[in-house]
Amino acid sequence: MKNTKEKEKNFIDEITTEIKKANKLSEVLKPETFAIPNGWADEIVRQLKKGKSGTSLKTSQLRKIFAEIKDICDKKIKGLSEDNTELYLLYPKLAYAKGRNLLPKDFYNLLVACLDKLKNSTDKEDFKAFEEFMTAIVAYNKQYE
Amino acid sequence: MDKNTKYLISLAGFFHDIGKFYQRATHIKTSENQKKEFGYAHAYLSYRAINEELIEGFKAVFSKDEIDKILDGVYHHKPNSEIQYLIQKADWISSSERAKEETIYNVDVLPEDQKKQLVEFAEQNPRLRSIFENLKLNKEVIKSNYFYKISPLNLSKDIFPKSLEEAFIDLNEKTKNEILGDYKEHWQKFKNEFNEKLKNVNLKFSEHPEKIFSLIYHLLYKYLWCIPASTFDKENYTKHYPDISLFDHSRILSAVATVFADSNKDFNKNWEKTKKEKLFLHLKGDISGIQKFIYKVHQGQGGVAKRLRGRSFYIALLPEVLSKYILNQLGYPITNLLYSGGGIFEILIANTEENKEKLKEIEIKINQFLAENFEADLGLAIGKYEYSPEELETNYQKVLERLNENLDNAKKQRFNYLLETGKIFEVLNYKSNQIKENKKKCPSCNTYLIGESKEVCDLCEKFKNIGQILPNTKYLIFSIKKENSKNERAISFDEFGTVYLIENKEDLINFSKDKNVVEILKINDTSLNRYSTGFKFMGKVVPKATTKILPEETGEEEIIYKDQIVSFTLLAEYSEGDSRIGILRMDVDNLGKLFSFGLKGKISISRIATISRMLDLFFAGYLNNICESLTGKVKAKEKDKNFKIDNLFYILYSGGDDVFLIAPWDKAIEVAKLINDKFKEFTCYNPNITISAGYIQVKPKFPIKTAAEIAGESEDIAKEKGKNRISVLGDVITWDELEEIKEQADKLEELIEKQELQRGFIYAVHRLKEQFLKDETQEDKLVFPYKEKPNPMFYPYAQYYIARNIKGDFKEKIAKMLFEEKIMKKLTFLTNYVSLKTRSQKS
Repeated sequence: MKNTKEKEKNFIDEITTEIKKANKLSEVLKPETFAIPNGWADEIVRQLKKGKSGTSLKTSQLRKIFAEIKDICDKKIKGLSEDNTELYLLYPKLAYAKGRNLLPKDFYNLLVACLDKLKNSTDKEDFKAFEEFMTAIVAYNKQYE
Repeated sequence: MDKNTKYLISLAGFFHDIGKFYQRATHIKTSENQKKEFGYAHAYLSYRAINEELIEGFKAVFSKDEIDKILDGVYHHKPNSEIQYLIQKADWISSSERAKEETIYNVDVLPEDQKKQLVEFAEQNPRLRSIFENLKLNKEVIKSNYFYKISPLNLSKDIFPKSLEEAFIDLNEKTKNEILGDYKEHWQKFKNEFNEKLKNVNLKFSEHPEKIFSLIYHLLYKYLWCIPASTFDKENYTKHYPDISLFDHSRILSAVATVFADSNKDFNKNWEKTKKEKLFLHLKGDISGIQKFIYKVHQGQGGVAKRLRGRSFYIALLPEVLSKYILNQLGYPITNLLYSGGGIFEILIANTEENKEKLKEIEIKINQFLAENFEADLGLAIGKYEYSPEELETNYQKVLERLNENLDNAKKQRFNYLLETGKIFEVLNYKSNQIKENKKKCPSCNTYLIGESKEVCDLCEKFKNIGQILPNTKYLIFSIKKENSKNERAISFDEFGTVYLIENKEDLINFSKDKNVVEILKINDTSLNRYSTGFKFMGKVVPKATTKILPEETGEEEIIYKDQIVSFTLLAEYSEGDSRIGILRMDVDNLGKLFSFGLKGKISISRIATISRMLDLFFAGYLNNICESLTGKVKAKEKDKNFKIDNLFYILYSGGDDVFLIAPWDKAIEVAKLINDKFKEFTCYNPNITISAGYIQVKPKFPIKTAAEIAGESEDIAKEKGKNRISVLGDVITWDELEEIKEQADKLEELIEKQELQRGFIYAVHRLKEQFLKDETQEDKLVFPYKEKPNPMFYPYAQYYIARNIKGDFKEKIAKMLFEEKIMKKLTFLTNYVSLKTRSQKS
């Protein structure tokens, strides 16, 4: 996994597996792994841009998803909401985007894996990790616009 | 013992080994008889050099009796008169370091076949080796046989050591003299100048002993500084390590001989016993309160730059004047002033009751003078240590340690006499009691009281005046007499003497004839003219107006006339980008340790004297050249700018081992780097000898006192963070890094200038740095507190910003630059530097 040369297999799938295996999101999503140049976020973006998954991810779509995720995470981090309704509502939204070929399947799986971990979490650190992870993806994505 | 006799003995000591120079220049063979009579070939040759080669000059100033006394000294290896005995013993004591080490040639880097050649070459061409190569603390030194070219002393590249291997490789018949210098030619020059100067001076030693002594002293300094005191000595079968110059050896021997002469001992018999007696009294004087005193320039009075320079110059002269006064009162020549610089002086005298009595009186007088005139802001502390010739010979390290301890104690007891006798009150109020009318505080220094009708106090008036005339001063004249008339070129130190600041050569004639004048010194120029008796190195460069500058141009109230020191506001205009001034303080790291431990077992009075003198030569003398040459470079680069100043650098103080200067903010950083580069070269790239610097930039009207203090703190931080660094614009950077990061900054600056990069980028980086790189638990005062490990979110955010705001090819280059770990922990410097540099000028 750490070896990025094996990414041909499908880097995003591998990360998804890693996330599924982990107990907590903040244990697997660490800035020193995903935020650095050539780290996870950078590599994910690179793979998405290649359109390997059949569908390419439009920036507008990514930003739309990011805006919703950020909103949810911010509230959790600031302790403003105990409610998970918005988080649950993300599932159908993502599924819809995937169905309309706006969201690559592997990336969809990755996001769902993250949401699965979050829905049972009360730890702010998990939400922070996810938000930063998404921020890094959006940031690295900027290079390819 | 009367003064003139002491001076003659000192001169005998000074010339005792001149034959070594003569011998290497002429290769004259000595007969067995001559050797027998004189003990050594060089002793015979010293005699012959004086009696044949230099006799014209000698005869012009000395009587026959006087010459005989000096010649007596050269018999020192086979003594049969009192002078000869004491010079012999002085020689033993002051050249004790010789027996200890042989000359070594470090030839490891050369191929086998060249090693032998190099050693042979070196032995055929004996040159003075640099003492700096041999100083060692904790870093390994790769030695390279650094030597000095044979050439008259001047502030040029000739005072820098050269690598023997490089010289050996580059050497051919054409370049030989250029690289090595030539003994024969050097001797001819010396001989000609010596005879000519002594003839033309038109004075007799009996009437003007100080001036004649000063003249000879400086002639010998000029020519003997690069001659090794001892090298391959066939008669002794020794190969002495030649790192002490004939000048330093001779002046120390001369000082020791004078002390012996003044001791009234028998130096013929019972040497083993005499040697253990405490014959020496070593004084280390220290002027305290300098910092506090210099910055008493109240803002808003105009002419801050002038008044400040006046004050710092006065302070630089004070130890000179006081040490000369002490020597004069005790009848000692300037060779007994072992060192003077950086507010400190060291004097060696005989430990006699008479001297001690006189010294007591002198100290009281000096402190009374300082208390009366400066209300005890300034003080003189003298550390004293008594020791024997044996101790000097075998344990000079202890001498230095004791001397420093005693000086520290003396500092705590300044003004003790005045306090104990209750005189202090009388003295402190002396000046204000003289004022009959209503009193007010002087608005210039905000310290002393003046009469209501007066504008500023006498001192401030004096300092402003010094600041006015200093830029054009070429000669310093030291007189032991109090100046009573109103002479604007005279700086009076009351009964301790007067210093005249003279511009024109023609004005020297009258001083030359004046018996109270003891020295006429040309500043930073070793060429002697008819009336000058020597030269003096001092930080003197200031930005001088090359034309009249009107208030509209500077925003100041006063007109700046041609040749005057310009204001800091005008100086700041010569910055690139924002108009600010940079304040730079630098000094040598671990100097105390270098002195006490750097030489390991090889510490000796001559070696210490050599190191101190050489360091002062760099900081007081060569520093001026560095400032001037950088000014030249900047002027050539910024051709379009209309320069109304001759120089970009304002040296507030430099000498000893430190520098304090003010310049346009960017130029001050540039000069810091250049000073360090040159200093590395000057000290043979020895990793144990380093400099640290503190720098700050402020608006030109910022109170200079506070700026100086912050610059001092900034320097302390550079020292705390490992030394050999500069603390600049929020980061502490090693000298090597400074070069690299400045290069990157220059690239960014260029992109911004070409409008290929927005200035906003710099602020964005700044914000990201605050957000992701800052350690919030630490104080952010002069240096930005970086986190040990940066928050990795810095990368995507920076990447996003770059992708969004930067066009085209350098996206990647800039990302690569920012993400380099070396740069990432120096981003404060980088962003501040670029931001200041690209801020557009007001006008």
